[in-house]
Amino acid sequence: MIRQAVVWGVVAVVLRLIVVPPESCPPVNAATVRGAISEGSAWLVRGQRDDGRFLYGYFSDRDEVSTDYNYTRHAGVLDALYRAGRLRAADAGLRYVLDNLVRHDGWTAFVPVGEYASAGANALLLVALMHRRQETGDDRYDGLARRIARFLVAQTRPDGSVLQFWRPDTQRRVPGVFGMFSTGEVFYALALMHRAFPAEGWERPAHRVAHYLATRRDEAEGYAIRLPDHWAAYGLSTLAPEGLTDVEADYGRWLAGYFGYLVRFESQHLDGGVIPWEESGSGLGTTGEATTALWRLAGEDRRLADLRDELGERSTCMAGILVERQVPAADPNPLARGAWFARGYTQMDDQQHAVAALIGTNEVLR
Amino acid sequence: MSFGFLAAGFLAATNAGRVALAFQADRPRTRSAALALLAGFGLVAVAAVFADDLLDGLSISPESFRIAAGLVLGAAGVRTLVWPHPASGPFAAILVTPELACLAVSFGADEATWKVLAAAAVALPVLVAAVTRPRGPMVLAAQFLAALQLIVAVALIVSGIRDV
Repeated sequence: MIRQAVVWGVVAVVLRLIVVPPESCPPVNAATVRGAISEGSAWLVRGQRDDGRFLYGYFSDRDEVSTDYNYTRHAGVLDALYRAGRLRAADAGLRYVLDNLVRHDGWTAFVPVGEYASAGANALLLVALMHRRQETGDDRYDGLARRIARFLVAQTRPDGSVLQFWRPDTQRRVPGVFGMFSTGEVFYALALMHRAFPAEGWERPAHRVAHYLATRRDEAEGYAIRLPDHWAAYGLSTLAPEGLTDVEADYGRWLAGYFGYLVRFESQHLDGGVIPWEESGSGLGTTGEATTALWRLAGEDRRLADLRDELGERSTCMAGILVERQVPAADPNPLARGAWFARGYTQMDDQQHAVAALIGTNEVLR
Repeated sequence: MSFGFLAAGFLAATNAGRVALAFQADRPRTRSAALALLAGFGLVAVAAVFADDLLDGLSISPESFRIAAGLVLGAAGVRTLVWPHPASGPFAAILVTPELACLAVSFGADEATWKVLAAAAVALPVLVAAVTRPRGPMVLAAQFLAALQLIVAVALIVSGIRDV
C-alpha cells in the first residue's frame, strides 16, 4: 500500500513540475498590446544609424553593443517598422537597401558589398515593400518590387525549392545551398505579390514553393523533423482568399497544431520552474506571428474553420507573454527599454518578430 | 477520438493479462476481486466526470494533459513489457493505477462522459474473465496489452502536440 502511495506521489510531482506545469496567459488588451508595439519598435528606431542600418544587438549584463550585422534581419526589421507605422525610420533603412542594389538578367537584388545576393533577405525586402505599399498607398517602388520578385523566381527551381544565394563575382546561383527559412520567406513574398498584382501570375511560383514546403522540403533538405515555419504560415494566409489546394490546407492544419503546442509550452514556462527555460523575443515572436497568421487563415478557409477560436486564444496568450517579458517603458536604459532579452542579450530580430506578433494579435483583439 | 481508440486505451491500461497474473499470485477472495473491479471503474468514473474541473483547477489544457497521459502510459507500458508480473500489494488496488487515472482524465476532458464510461465498460468483461478464469499465456497477454498501451501512448503524445 505504501509502495503504491509512493508511486502515485512521484508520478503526480513529476507530472506537475516537469511535464505539465500550469499554463499561464497574462491578461492583455488592445491598449497594452499597442503600447508594447510602440516601445518595441521605438527600440529599433533609437538604434538606427546615419546610414540607415540598425543596432544589431546589446548585452545588458556587460552593457555592450554587438558590432555584427545581418542583412536578412535588416530587411525583416524594415518590414516590422512599416507594419508598425514607423515610416520615416523604415524609409531611412530602405535607402541603405537602394544604395546596394545589383541588376542582372532582368531582375534586381539587394546585395551589400562583399555579400552574396540572398533569397531570404530579398524576400523579406519584397515583403517590406508590399507592406509599405499597403500602409501608404504609394506605388513608387512597384517596379523595384517586380524586379526583386523576378530574382526570387530565378532562384526557384522547377520542384519549388529555392536556392539561397547568387554570387556577384561568378554571376551564377550557388548550387545545393538552401536556407532554413528562405524558402518560406520567398513563398510569403510571392504570395503578397499575387495579392498586390493578381493579374501577373505570381501565384504560380507561389503555389509551386508552397507545395514543396508542404511535401518535400524537410526531407529533401535534411531536417530531422518538420520545421515550424512561420513564414509559410504567413504565405498560406496570404494566398487563402484565392484558394488553397488540399495539400496546402493540410499543411496549414499541421502548422497550427505545432505552433499551438509551442504557445502552450511557452505558457507553461513563463514563470520559470524546475527546468530553466527562457525563450528569446524572436522565438516567442515567430510563434506568435505564425499563430496569428494561421488564425487569419482559419477565418478564410472553411476546411480550417474549426481551429479559429483556439488559434485566437493562443495568439492572445502569446501576446500576454510578450507584454510580460518586455523590458518596461519606465526602464532608464534606452538600450534595454522596450526590448525582449534572453540570457542577458537582445538582438534586432527579437524586436522585429515580437512587434510583428503583437501587430497580428492587435487584429485578433479587435 | 474514435470510440475504438478509447476502448483500446482502456483495454490496454487495465491490462487483463497483468490482472490475471496478480490474481494467480495472490489468489484473492471473490470479494477482493469484485472490489478491484469496482475500484478501477470508480476511478475511471470519477476521473472522467471531474476531468474538466480538475484540469481547469490545475490550469492545464486538455491537449497538454494528453501529452502527460501519454508519457505516463508509455512509462507504465515499458515497465509491463519488461516486468509483466505486478508488484505485491493489495489485490483490490490492482486497477487503481496512475496510468488508468491519467487516461480517464485525458479522455474525460476530450470526450463526453457517457462515451468514456461506455468505452471503459468494454474492458470490464475481459477483466472479469481474467479474475474468474485466469488461464492461458498470461505473461504474453500482459506484454501484448503493454505493447498496445505504448501505441496508445504514442498516439496521445502526437495528438497532444499536433492539436492547437
